[in-house]
Amino acid sequence: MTQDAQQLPGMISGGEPSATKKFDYTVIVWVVLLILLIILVANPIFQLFKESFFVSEDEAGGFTFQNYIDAFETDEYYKPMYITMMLAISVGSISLVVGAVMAWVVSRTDIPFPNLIRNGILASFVTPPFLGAIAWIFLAGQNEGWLNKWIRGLFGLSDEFYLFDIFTMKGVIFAMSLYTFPLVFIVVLAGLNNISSDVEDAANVAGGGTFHTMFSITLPLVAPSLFAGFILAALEAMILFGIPAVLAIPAGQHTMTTQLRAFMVSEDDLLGLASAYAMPMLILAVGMVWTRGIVLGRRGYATVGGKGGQRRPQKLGVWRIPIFVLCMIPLVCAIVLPAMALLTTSFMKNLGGGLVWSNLTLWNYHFILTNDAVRESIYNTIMLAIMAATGATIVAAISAFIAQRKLIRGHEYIGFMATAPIGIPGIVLAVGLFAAYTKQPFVLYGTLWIMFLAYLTKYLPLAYQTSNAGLTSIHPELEESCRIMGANRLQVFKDVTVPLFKTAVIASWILVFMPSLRELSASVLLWTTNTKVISVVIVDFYEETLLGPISALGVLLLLITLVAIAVGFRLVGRDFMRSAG
Amino acid sequence: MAVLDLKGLLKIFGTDVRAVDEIDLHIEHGELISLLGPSGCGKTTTLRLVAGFIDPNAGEIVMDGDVVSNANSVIPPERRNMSMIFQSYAIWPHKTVSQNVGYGLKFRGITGAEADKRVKSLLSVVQMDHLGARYPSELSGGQQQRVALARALVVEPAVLLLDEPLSNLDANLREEMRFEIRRLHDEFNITSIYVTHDQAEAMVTSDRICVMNSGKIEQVGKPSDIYDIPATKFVAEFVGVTNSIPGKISSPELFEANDGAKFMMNADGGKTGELVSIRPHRIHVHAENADVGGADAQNVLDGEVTRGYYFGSTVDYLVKVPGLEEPLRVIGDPHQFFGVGSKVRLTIEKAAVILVSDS
Ligand SMILES: Nc1ncnc2c1ncn2[C@@H]1O[C@H](COP(=O)(O)OP(=O)(O)O)[C@@H](O)[C@H]1O
Ligand SMILES: [Mg+2]
Repeated sequence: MTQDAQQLPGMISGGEPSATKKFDYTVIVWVVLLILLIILVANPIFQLFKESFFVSEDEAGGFTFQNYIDAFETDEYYKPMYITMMLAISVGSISLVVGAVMAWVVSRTDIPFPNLIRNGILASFVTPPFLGAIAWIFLAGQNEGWLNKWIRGLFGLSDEFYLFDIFTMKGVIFAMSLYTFPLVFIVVLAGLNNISSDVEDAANVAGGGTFHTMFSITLPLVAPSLFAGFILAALEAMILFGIPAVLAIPAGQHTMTTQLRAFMVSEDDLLGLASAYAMPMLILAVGMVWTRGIVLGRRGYATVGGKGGQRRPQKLGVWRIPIFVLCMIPLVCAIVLPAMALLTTSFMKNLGGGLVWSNLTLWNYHFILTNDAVRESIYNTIMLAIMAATGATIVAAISAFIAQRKLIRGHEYIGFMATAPIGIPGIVLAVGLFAAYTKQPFVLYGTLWIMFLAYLTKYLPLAYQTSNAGLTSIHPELEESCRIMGANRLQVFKDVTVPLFKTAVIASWILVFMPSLRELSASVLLWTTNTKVISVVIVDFYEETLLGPISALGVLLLLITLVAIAVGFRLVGRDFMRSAG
Repeated sequence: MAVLDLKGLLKIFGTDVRAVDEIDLHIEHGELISLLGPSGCGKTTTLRLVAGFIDPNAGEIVMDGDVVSNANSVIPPERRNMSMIFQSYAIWPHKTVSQNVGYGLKFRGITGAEADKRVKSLLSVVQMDHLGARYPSELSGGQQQRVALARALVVEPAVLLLDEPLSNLDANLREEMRFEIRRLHDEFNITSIYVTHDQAEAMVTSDRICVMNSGKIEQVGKPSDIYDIPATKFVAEFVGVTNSIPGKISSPELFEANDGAKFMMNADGGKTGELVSIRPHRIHVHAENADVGGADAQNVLDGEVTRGYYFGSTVDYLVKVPGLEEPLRVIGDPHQFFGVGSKVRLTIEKAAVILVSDS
């Protein structure tokens, strides 16, 4: 073994080492990031703020508080705020109870099939809330709802009788809770899994029974997660547009989101009023997200993983099966029943006609696949989802990399900037984007670009968190060991960083792609005839009561989503949904 | 094969954390030297300076006569022909064991059959030949450690750097791997720097030990010298257990403790110090008034046992001696046990009394 074989190419032999100059990217990176931040967040919010203090052009123009006075003093506008608060609190509370109890059951007891329950709850993110709400009309409408019919048939009751009516505030609360309790479940499960079982065992040893231990030890320790879960669910209830649009408006009620849309589609120019009306939502939502961050501490973004470890599960005894059945009810209501309802309706001629041969048809599918507007919306949806996923992933991956590798000065602020849009409700963001980009010199309204900006802004924080988590798991020593073996920076990047970071990047892409497919609350304010997306078409059809085609479109949307998930599982493994919380 | 010289090496983090504070160290060709010191004393920083991962603020690192690092420029790690074993092992999870081990060869122009041959031979050296196709997640901690060793050695580096390589292993494995590392060093004879905070690990593996404290070198020497003739109170107390007795030299062969007790010691030309260090097992315990021979050849002290713990092979005493502020810690022979309150006579050879400085 000779000395020569060991000599590395380029190794200095003699004299002083050559100076290695490092180019400083600080200025370039910051300029790019600041421009992005201005376009995506600062400008829309500023314009929103500005508009709220101006009367529209065709009246006098000029500075005024009138918009705020109108927004808060008119009974008609004030009532939706009251309803929204009521919804947020009831949905938050119901989700808290259901989500937390299910998390405890899955994490701490000998319930059968805990993974089935866990994965089922994760899967309920697959159904867009507005589709779920429409499906529940088929299931629990007063006259035609299948559950009502079934009960009538079962007990031989008259056609007047009904047990469920989805077009009520209770119905709205029910439908919303189905899609918000998973948020509580995920946060609380993570909280529970992070409590060392020793702490609980110690309490048991000290003489505390199962329930005493739960109330005196476990409950205080997960209190931050419970609080955070409640906030998440209440926030979601506050900013949801789809469910109230489908269920509350026919019941004659507006929430803040639907009222906001009513302003925006009004014949009059009510942009100022809409902006003022959006302010309390914006402030509340951002405040709630911050509170949650503070309560959860630095681990602001809980994942389902956690160091579960070996635990001695509590024995449920004879209650094991009954509790399992109870736990399946929310899952059946959130996933199984709506999916079945949509699927069957999509093949039916007549909604009331029942599941008989003569009532079956492919017409609904034929209709959506041949209708030009629908076909264009499918194209737009997929285009937008690809653009948003790619854009958000690129920006997130690069900025997370720069932040984690401390490549520029001020790197510690990058994370804050990339997650700055977090908490801004989609519909508020849309009003801001509308205010910012409908006038010269930046006219984006009427193009897909304005929707792209909305999606990008809305999902950038999620993409950033995913990329950041992925990078955190790459120990810097993995890269250093590569360098010392003889690889230069570029080779390290190619051989170690990229292969290990790839998973997170793919996960981030899919995690943005999926919600982009069904984005509604921002799209519903930004679409124009040429830029409709599937979710907007569904709401449109709903207003025209084209329920069959809606079901077919819904099935199509679910199929695309499932394909995306399947691809994700293949490329990344089953863990990628974990960061979805 | 390489000779390393660290000259006045300084690394300051932020504005005032002097992580490595102007150290000088010469490392011989084929030597295994360990950097020993408490956590945060600057061992890792020193190692990473040598590897070229960080730039010094002042001073230089010279390898075989070539400056590889100074304040102005630093040869990057990939051009130093060094290998490093990391605390986390840093085994690439997406590569198999063989791919991990063989990775560095392509940069040295070794590919194909020759590369395979070397990977196989190194894997057999670390007794991992049957696991080449496995992925790291399928290996135990000890096996990952062996992969890291094979990967570092296969490229025949000029210098091998090890940063607390055993700290993530459980106690049994740690002991076994100490000998393994020494065995591999004897086989390959690569100039090595071994960072550890475990004195036993340093003793077993090293040719020389460099004891560090607060960014500075306290003492460099053979393991036996570090243990038997510590230069400072810090070294005496960090490497093993000792009695540190403050006082002053009253003549070249006589040390007077602050409270009056006197200790004879061997004159060590002009050495100064503010304390003496006496290892507990160098103090012999006898019965009260026992005839212990000449009091001019050794120190004889009378005292009273205030504590005696029986350990089977030894007894751990505290003995209160008039003229000493603190009781003396003494390791005694269990065949002759003295209970608490017993009067005993202690003898200490002159050579066991070591003058050390306080800093
Ligand atoms: N990248 C760094 N930035 C700031 N301070 C550091 C950095 N690395 C190490 N230090 C500080 O330098 C000192 C020495 O650290 P280190 O060399 O890691 O110690 P050791 O390896 O002996 O435990 C410590 O006080 C540590 O906090
Ligand atoms: Mg260290």
